[in-house]
Amino acid sequence: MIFQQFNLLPFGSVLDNILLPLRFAPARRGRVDNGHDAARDLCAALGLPDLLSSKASTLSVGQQQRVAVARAMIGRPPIIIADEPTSALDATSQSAFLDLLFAQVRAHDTTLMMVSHDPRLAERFDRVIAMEDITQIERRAA
Amino acid sequence: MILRLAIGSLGARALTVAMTVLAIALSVALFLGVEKVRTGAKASFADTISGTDLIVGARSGSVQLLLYSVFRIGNATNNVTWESYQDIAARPEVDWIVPISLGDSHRQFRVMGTTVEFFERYKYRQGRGLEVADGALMSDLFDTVIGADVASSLGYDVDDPIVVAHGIASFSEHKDQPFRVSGILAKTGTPVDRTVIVSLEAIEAIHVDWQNGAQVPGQSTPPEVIRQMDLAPNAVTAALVGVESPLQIFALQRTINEYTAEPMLAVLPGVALQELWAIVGVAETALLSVSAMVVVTALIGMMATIFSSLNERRREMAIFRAMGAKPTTIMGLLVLEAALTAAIGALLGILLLYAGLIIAQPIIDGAFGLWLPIAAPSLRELTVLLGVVVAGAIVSLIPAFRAYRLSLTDGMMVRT
Repeated sequence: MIFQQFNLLPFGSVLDNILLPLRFAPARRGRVDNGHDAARDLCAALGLPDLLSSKASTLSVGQQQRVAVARAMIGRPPIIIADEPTSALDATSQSAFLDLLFAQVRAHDTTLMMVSHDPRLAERFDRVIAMEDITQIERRAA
Repeated sequence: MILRLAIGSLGARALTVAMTVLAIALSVALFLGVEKVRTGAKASFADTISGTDLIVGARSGSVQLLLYSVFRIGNATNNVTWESYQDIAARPEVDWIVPISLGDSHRQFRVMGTTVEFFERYKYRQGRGLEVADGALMSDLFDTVIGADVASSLGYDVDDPIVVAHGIASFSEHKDQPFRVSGILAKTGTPVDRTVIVSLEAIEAIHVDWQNGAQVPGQSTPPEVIRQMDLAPNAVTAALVGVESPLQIFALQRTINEYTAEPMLAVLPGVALQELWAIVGVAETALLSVSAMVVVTALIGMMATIFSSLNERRREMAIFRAMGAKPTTIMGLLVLEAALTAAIGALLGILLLYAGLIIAQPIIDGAFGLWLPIAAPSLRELTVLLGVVVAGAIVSLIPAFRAYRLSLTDGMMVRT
């Protein structure tokens, strides 16, 4: 799960934030041998400098979003839901962020489901469903 | 990690949390402080007289006998004749006996006639003896030794003259036989501090010209003549008795209580003190319950703080929920935080208490003669501390339940 913004617990360290889902999901915990190493590898792959022990609130928004990705990826979940993860970023950061996200998704064999208002992003995805279509289908059913 | 996050979350709201912790700490320090003063007062009270096995006086109530003989409160209903006194003194069980003669006063302080043996037999606070801070014990018939409070409130020094008044709160004075302050006792925190002590003979001496409680008009025997007279007393007010062996206390007590020549009463100081404390003790319960209410108030304050923090923490809860935390986990997190806050408050409270004790102990001892021991927290105090933490956790259940409901309705939606 990746939110639009304010993804992290501001008072927790980056490491704590990344490892948080493992605490509540035994299946994901089972797929990770060493949480600390896994988190460091993910951060390196996402182009984050070594700031595992710094407080989440001290990071920039772009860094926070990448930490959120790391947190979503840890333990190799089969599906990631992202709710406009790029809306808080400018155009350049957006595409850089998406590059990283896609690289990770491919590397881990994970399905990515993403909501966005930006039609320009659509071309990068395998399937695109427009919201209008869903509402029409729903109306017909009613 | 959850604990670390809980601490981190508390740290993020440091100011409000610090206020809550401070409130709890102050209330805990107050509660334990009252408890300390209460036990200290009780112990000081029980320590007013020690080393004395029996107090003997004319037959009245045991509390009354204790009040007038030891605390100098109230008056004796009757005296013990000198014959009976000597009769008891001659009994084989009696190790030592010290007579006390009361009835006169100096300003607001009682005058007590006794023998020099009083100074070595009277013990307080587990066997501490009286000490002369200034001057010496009585050596002359018209010498007096005064307690620390008498000296300080009336500004007396050694060799100052004192005129004793007849009776208590009376205007007729024993002007013809002034006394000289020969010594001032060190502060004890007992009624001795407020007593003017003279010899038993002196009490007789100043009453030579008195009959039936009034001075015979025109008659004034000069001190030189009095010195030549036989000043054996006719009666004493009470007597402190020490027995040879503790096993004989009850036998001697029964003998005195069944004394046929004169109605007399012998009480064990400890038992009489317990009876007296049972009367005084109502106030201590009131004091303790007031400070307990202060603790409850501080805990309710903490509950209010948690309630008001819930709104600003919806985002935090949503993140937890998104990461897979159950609503019950969020509830547990809040309770854990509250318990932590209460625990830190309780610890800080006990630190405050000890800091306060270290500063106040000599001051309180000097001013009120109340000795507050600095000891490791008793089991009872530890129970109180644990109780505060548990109560904090229980109180936080109410806002935690609201957080549970909120996180159910909000789900993973991030509301800011």
